[in-house]
Amino acid sequence: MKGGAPEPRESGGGQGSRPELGEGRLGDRVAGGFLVILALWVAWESRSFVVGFPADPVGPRALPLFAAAVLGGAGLYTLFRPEPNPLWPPSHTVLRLVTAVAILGAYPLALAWIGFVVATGGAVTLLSLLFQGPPVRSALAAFLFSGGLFLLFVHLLGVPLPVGQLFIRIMGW
Amino acid sequence: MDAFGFLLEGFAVALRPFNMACAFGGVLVGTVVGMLPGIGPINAIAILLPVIFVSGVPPESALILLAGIYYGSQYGNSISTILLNVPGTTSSVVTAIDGYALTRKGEAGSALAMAAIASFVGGTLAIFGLVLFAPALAGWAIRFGPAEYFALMAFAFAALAGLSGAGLAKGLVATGVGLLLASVGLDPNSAVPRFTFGELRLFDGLDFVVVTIGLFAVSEVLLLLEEEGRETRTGVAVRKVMVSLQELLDSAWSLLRGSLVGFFVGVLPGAGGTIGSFVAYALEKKISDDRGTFGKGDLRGVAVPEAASNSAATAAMIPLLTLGVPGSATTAVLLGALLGLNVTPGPLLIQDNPEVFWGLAASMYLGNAFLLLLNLPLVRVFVRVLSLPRWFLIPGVAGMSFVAVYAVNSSVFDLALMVGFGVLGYLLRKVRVPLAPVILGLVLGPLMEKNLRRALALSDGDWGVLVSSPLSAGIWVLTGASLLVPAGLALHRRLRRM
Repeated sequence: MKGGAPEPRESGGGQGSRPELGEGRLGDRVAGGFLVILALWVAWESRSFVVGFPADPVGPRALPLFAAAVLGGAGLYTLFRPEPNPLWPPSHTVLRLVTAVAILGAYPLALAWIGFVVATGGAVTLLSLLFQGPPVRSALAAFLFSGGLFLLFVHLLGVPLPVGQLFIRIMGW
Repeated sequence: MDAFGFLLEGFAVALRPFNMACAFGGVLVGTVVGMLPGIGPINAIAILLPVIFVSGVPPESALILLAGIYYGSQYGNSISTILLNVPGTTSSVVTAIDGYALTRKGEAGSALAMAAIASFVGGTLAIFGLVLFAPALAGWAIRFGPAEYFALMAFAFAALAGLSGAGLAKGLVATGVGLLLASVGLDPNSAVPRFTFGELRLFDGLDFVVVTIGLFAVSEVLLLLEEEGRETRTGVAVRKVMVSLQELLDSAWSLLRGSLVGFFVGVLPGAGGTIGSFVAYALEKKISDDRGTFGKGDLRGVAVPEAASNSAATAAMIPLLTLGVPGSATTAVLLGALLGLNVTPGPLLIQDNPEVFWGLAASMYLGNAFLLLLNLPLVRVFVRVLSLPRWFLIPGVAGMSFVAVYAVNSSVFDLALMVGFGVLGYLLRKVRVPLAPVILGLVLGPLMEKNLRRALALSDGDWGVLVSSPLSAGIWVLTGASLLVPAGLALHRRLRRM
């Protein structure tokens, strides 16, 4: 970008640019290698996508084979001509990221058991704490939010959200 | 009936109270999400889609709302760009140059007012273009066969990959990932399962709402978490949000030129607001920077890119609506939304669903007027939203993503997929792979495959059919050029460095 313009914040679309650049190119090398392997696997898998209609000369393998060709070519280029990647975060940040992914990943597992309101309230509270929110206010905001969403979806829009097996058993609903 | 008569009928649709409420709600939501970090129009539209699907809103109202979010976010974007020097999308990077300079001089109010006026002028002029050109383009495109469509979609991919600014290789990686994701599920023609790993829940393919929210919203949460603690945000006091008549007159030609450049660049796939605003700014600097004030806080330096990017955003609706070929991530999400509402964009849309097309066009006039009214007096209210703390805002986005994804199929499996795509999106962004071509590939992939197979079925497997008409051959030449020109430029830079 020219003219001293700042890098875009990129909240959707555009390139994944972050202001600080490191000279590390390992990310590109790993990604390139992975893409080449992925492309080979996709091409291998596509062998079995065959149908013998004369009315469909290319059949279901055309799209994945094309995707594999694009991925393989671009992957090879990235492997041998890597570009500098943005700095990877320091280890304490990685820990926070892993925690966030763990919270997000636990959410679907917990949903059926503890129900939408508690699961969403809990997950949003934990994420707020990761963003250094004040504990009491984070929890208050999160549970008001999840309760509000529950009322909106279940009562106004008629989308059933899980109440939670746990509560059904305890309350004998 | 001529375009004017149809447009009057469109106003009859757009002026229904519910549709006016949709337009107003859309532009309001758009302004807010365009301004805030971590949301953006793509996430807002993807999160709202399941709600729209379950609530049974008629398609024209849904489209009025979603399009309102789309062009409204352009206005909101300029607010955070000017005040905080934080452009929400690449299309407002240029606005930051003069916009933030004005803020530092204490003239944030006039910069914001000029941005709102420029957005209005660009948006409104481009709707004239839409109304004039879309029916003509549709009438012409009605003769397109599958080979032409296939070529056109390949062109959209090539243009987006070549012009996304991240380098051709990374753009192609993103395209390949998108096409691969598009092939997951049962092949619609032959029912052969592809990449389903025997998982029944993948037989229907990947739902694009799930993938979009994962790739964009969840990865954004992770990226913002990574940044956490490093943000430096300063409050900006905004006084009177107004420009003088003299300033407006001084910028009149800039506004017109910016709108015009934005429009013609915006019609092309891939280019859109980013290139439109860059080209318009560079041109304007050549034409009217006689005192060297551009870059140091010239109001025209705000007017031009804002007019251009808004005009381009509206112009990008033309290929979406008349050809069914989107050229950007947000218009790809809009295409997914339309398909979900059982409206097939394409040359027949204007004939078959006139209330959708003309109602939308008319509503965009209203929406832009609402935006001007909202942005001039109410900008100070919006500015307060900017100071909402991240601990409150970003986890809320995650919560809304949960409920939206769950509402699609009431499926916990989808939630797990969303998280997986969130991690994928984060990793892709860390190696600078743009996400827009992934979404375009996911949405256009099935259509591209269908047209390819139809073309080859008609020709008994003769691949020559793909280039047999002059039109498709011409599009292939453009496709090649969109790939080769950026590659050539990159090679040139590399050689010069050596």
